[in-house]
Amino acid sequence: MSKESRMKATVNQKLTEMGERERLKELLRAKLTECGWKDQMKAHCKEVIKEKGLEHVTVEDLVVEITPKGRALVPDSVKKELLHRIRAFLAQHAT
Amino acid sequence: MRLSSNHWAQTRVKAKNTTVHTKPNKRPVQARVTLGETRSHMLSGLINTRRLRRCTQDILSDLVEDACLGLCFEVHRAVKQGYFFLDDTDQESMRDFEIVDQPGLDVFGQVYNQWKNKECVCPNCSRSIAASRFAPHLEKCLGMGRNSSRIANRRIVTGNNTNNKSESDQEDNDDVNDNDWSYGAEKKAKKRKSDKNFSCMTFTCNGVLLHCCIGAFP
Repeated sequence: MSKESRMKATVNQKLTEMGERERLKELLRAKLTECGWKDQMKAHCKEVIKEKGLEHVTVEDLVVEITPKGRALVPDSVKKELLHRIRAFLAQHAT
Repeated sequence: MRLSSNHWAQTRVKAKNTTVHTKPNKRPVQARVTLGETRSHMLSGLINTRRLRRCTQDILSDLVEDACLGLCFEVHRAVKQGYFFLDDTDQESMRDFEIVDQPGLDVFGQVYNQWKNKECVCPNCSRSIAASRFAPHLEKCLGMGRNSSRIANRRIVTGNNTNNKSESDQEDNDDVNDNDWSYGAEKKAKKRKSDKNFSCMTFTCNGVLLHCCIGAFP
């Protein structure tokens, strides 16, 4: 629906303009490091690199291997907190 | 609910300057508005919870993807610059310094409550005291620590040795009891202070060299 995509664009614009997007990014990064997600993913990266060979690994290889697993491994508590923050922001700035 | 035509005329006039006005049996008509109002009007449509939820989920997945990509770039750079595997050493060293997780040992494998059960003999009262309680005991025993109420302890000690004490001493002691500010007490206190303001003792106990420092700061 183009109306929804327009709305999404507006929301994203507002997020970026108010600096909230950067803050959310930092918050997410901190939470993921804290809960051990980053270490888990790094260990997985090591396996991928050992598999593909240290010299020949490309960014694409890593992205293809890491992103789906990374998405799945985000703990629920972190997801909940971020969703809560986003919803609070929208509630505050949507009206 | 049926409204009078009069009422409708009024509302129509009022509604001219607002964004939306409705007529009975007709769909809502959007009046002409400014761009800013359009934006906030669209955002106010988020009150619809399903759309709100979808929107927040999308934003979250964008952020997570961002984090994953960031990690990929970081790792890739570390690999190409050669510092990714720096913290891995050979297997043997890894095994040497592995964290120890046994009861009674700390993470380095050292015994940490070794002195808890050892007992020392107090040189003053010749009692056997546990090592961890030794310093406070010594404080009280010698009557020199901060909380040791020196006068009372001295009295007990001199009370035990009444045979060796002269009468004058006893009198002085009484003075000390009665009035802390009496000359006799002061003299005694001063004398004691200069003698034993700070005392250190070194002795061995069960083969361990112990050094105790007890001081009363003026």
